[in-house]
Amino acid sequence: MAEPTTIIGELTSVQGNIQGDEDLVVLGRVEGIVQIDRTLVIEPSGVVKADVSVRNVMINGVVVGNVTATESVHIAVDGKMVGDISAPRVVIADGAMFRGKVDMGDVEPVRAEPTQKPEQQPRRSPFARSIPQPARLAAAPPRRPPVEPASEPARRPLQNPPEDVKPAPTPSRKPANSPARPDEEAVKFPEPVTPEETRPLEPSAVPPPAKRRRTGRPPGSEPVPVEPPPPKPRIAVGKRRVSVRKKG
Amino acid sequence: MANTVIGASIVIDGEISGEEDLIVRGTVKGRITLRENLSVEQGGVVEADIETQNATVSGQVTGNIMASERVEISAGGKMVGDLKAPRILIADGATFKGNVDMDV
Repeated sequence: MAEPTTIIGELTSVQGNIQGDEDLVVLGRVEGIVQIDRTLVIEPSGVVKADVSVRNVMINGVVVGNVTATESVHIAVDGKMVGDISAPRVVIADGAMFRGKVDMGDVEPVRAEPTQKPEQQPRRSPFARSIPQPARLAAAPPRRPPVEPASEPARRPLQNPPEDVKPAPTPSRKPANSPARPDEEAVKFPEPVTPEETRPLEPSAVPPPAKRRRTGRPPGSEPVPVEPPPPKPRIAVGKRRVSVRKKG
Repeated sequence: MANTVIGASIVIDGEISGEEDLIVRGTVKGRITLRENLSVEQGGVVEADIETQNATVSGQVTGNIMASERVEISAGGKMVGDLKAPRILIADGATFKGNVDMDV
């Protein structure tokens, strides 16, 4: 017993909505929306420019539009489709043309297992023998490398103990700076004189312009770089005392 | 012979145009333009303006039919609308309401 089938003939064009509960074979042209609870077969001469919601669809012709199927979508060899497919089963034959998204429902992404990396050794250049050396350099104020040439050759020989590096550039800066640092972190007050700008060892008349951006000062007004700042004036004008000295 | 068949459970809401025969067993609303024959079979319901060569109505048609050759409303057929065709056949038992214009 042949099931009733609707046939849209080759020379027929339907523009509008098609709804029904029987198989549909399209040899002609359909534009609009197709909602059929059975099988839709688009023959090679068929062109469907519609959003399709069916149970099964077999595409041998051209489909432009989204296809939602409750069972399967099959694009055959001479089928061409542009649009999104949403179906639990999708078959695209070799030679078919398709452009769009395919959504087959809940698909768990496959995660690659994390590979066990070998223990990472800190990369060292073959020349770096003293490991604490980078740490020492960080302890020294990194903002402005010392200009004294004496420190540089002192640093280069790698067997040098780090003490050569540290006191050579800024012996006096260290005590000035080290209490400053916690202050800076603890209290954000607009400091009239910032520690990095006052370099007691470099009473250069030209403070580095790059530093000034931290205080936001206009380029004209340069802070007096010569005097080492005592701790108290570094606190804001409002005479508020904030954790200058470590209590206890 | 190429044929377009609109099955019994199909509802088409839009325009159908073609150059081949059309058999309607389902429901069509809108407009039908054919260059061949239209046959609305028993159980078919058409609410459309029809322009065709020949038309045979055994179902229900609500709309105007303009045929270039012939319109036949067979027994059991029901038509409400205007007929415009050079040849018209309304069979005994058919139901028809509308104008008839045979002056094509």
